[in-house]
Amino acid sequence: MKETLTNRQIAFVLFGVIVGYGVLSLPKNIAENAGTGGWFTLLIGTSIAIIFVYILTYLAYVHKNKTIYEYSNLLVGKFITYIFMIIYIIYFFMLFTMIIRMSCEAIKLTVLIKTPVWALCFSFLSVVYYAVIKRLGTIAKICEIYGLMIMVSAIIIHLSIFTHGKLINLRPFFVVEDISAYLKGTLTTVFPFLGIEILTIISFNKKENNKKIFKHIAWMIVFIGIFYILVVESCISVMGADSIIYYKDALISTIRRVDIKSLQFLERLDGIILTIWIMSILCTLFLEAYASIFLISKVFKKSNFKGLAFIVMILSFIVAQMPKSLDEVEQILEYISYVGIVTAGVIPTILFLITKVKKYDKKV
Amino acid sequence: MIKKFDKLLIICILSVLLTGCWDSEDINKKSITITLGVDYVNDGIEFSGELAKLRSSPSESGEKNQASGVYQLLSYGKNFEESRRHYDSINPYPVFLGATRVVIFGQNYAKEGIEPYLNRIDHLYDYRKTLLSVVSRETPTELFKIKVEKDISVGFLIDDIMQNLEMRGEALYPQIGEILSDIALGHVGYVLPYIGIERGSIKYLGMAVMKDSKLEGTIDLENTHGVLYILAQNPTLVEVIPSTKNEKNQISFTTFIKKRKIKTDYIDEKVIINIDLDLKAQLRYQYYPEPVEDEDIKKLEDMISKKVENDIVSTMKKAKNEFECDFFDFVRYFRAEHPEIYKKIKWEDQFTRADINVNVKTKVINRSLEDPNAKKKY
Repeated sequence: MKETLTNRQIAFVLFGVIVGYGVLSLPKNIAENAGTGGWFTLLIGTSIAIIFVYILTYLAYVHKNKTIYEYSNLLVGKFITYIFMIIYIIYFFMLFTMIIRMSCEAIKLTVLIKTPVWALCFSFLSVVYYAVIKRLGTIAKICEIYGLMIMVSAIIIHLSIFTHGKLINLRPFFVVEDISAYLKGTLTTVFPFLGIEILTIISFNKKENNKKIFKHIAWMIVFIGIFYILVVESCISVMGADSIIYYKDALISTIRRVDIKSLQFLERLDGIILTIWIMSILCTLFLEAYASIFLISKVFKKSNFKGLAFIVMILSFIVAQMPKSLDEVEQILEYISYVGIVTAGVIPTILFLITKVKKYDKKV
Repeated sequence: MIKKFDKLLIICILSVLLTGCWDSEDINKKSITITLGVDYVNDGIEFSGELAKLRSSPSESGEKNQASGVYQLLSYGKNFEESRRHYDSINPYPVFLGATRVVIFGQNYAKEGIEPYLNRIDHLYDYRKTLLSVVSRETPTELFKIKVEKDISVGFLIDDIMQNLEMRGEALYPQIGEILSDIALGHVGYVLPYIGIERGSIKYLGMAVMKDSKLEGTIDLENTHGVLYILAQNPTLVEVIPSTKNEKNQISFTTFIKKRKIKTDYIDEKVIINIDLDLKAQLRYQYYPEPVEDEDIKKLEDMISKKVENDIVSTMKKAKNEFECDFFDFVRYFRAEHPEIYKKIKWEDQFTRADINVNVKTKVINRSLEDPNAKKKY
């Protein structure tokens, strides 16, 4: 079943998949690696992300109506494609499984103290399963609706947080001597931008996805970059770079430290932020779970999608319970983020170069 | 088959799932803490405080729980956990800390260091991180013995006094989150409201200076202007200046900050701190009305500037010489402007040797709506 998404939907799918779990600890990670000059690191990270997003979009644009499985077959042959597929399937599966576990741990530690992690995982997976079997078109529509809600509410809340912060906490804005630290810190901005590889499983349509798709996607990445800077700077302005580095849930800790009188009618602001955060996690999970199931269904062509989704969910539930501690989950996520460099950067670049060398773009 | 009954199925499932808190407890079965006192007594931790006394009152929409007063709590232990265990073993209901308004630190505990309790607040889930903390001259248990008639309880009274003063720009309302940021920064101290009992009622006495989170000393209420001009967000202070013409006459002004600029420098291995304040002053009234000419206004502006300058300089001297601690957060400015030098110096030493230049300019913007220069016809 071929599903076509509009340019806008693809841009929102990118927002949905990128902005998710990582945003919770983003201010901590950036402050720890680049201090108050974190905005510069994020700018570099955004620029790098734009390059790889361009490569991924180009591949999908040149190979219309094809996903990575098909155009990789065409470019590198069956055997290497299978290797690629194994990498992508394991990557997407592990990523969404570990994000579920990590999110459930964070929810348990912040609000649902008495609820067991397995119960939270089960709830998440039930929702994910229901969304996934409705396929990409429905997920994209959810991303569109949720995305708008997340954008508007998060921007309002973070601007309000800014009014309670101190400008002096954001200084020095840039230290020339620290430029090497800023560049090293760019590595930490890789994880928040992971998810762009979702473009590998979206097939572009001749009618719907014209050249404007590049603009849509580039602007969305720029927006995400600015959004990240807003989140990081607003949190640092309240807590200070020295304090924020101790909080893995930096975003929620910041919210708890401000009393925004004009938003007091919402009672507990951390509850609102948590809701928005869970919405963004759901978008990420829908897309990553869909990607893994979609690619498995490509490899095992005769399989039933719904049945496959059910098996993947059960497997995910089991694997999510395996890590014994939070540290183990963090470690696994760190390893996955390195694989992410391969799936979002290395493999698409190889395919892009082959497309260019074999002049497939000209043929199209 | 399922499609036929899908709506019914959804309603059934939702009604089970969304009933939510099946294990919820009535609010009457919680010990809602309003105020908490922490002190050192006999080498152990003493928790004291106030718990909301709830009673049911009939209302149009049925029964309603209302806070009608407070119970007092008291527990002891070698550490926080033991003290809490003691509390749990003598009380029927679990503690709820989310409604706590104030944490009062007794002097004994403040001298030993309040950081452990601040960290406890930071990491206990139900504590608000925006609550007020104060240091008390008397022990918290003595404070809780005071019969409060002006407010619901001791905690509410302290919180309301401090909120009111902060709103009027006459005091600071440091929240736990801000203090934790100062502690994380290191090298700086901070000030907390200092309260006590005077003539049978609870009073805001001034500021408690905390160095390494330990009580280092206090600043009397009448000497807090210097701190407020530097630290308060919108200080609105009353300055009384003697008239230039008549010794007996006093002129009352309200001052506001128009612009506050703090710049730092590092010259000859010495930290220089330059503070520039642009004040606006408003003539409120004169004790004995007399004409105020433009020349007088200029003199009065200089006198206000001089007075404010002296207030700030004397507080700075206290900070440098008596407390040996930067509770003005100057280190943040220095680090922002000279990050590389900051890495090489020890701020605590540099601050005590720093040259601090204060420059205050005042502009009287109005003489209220009175015309002191009006001329009588006869």
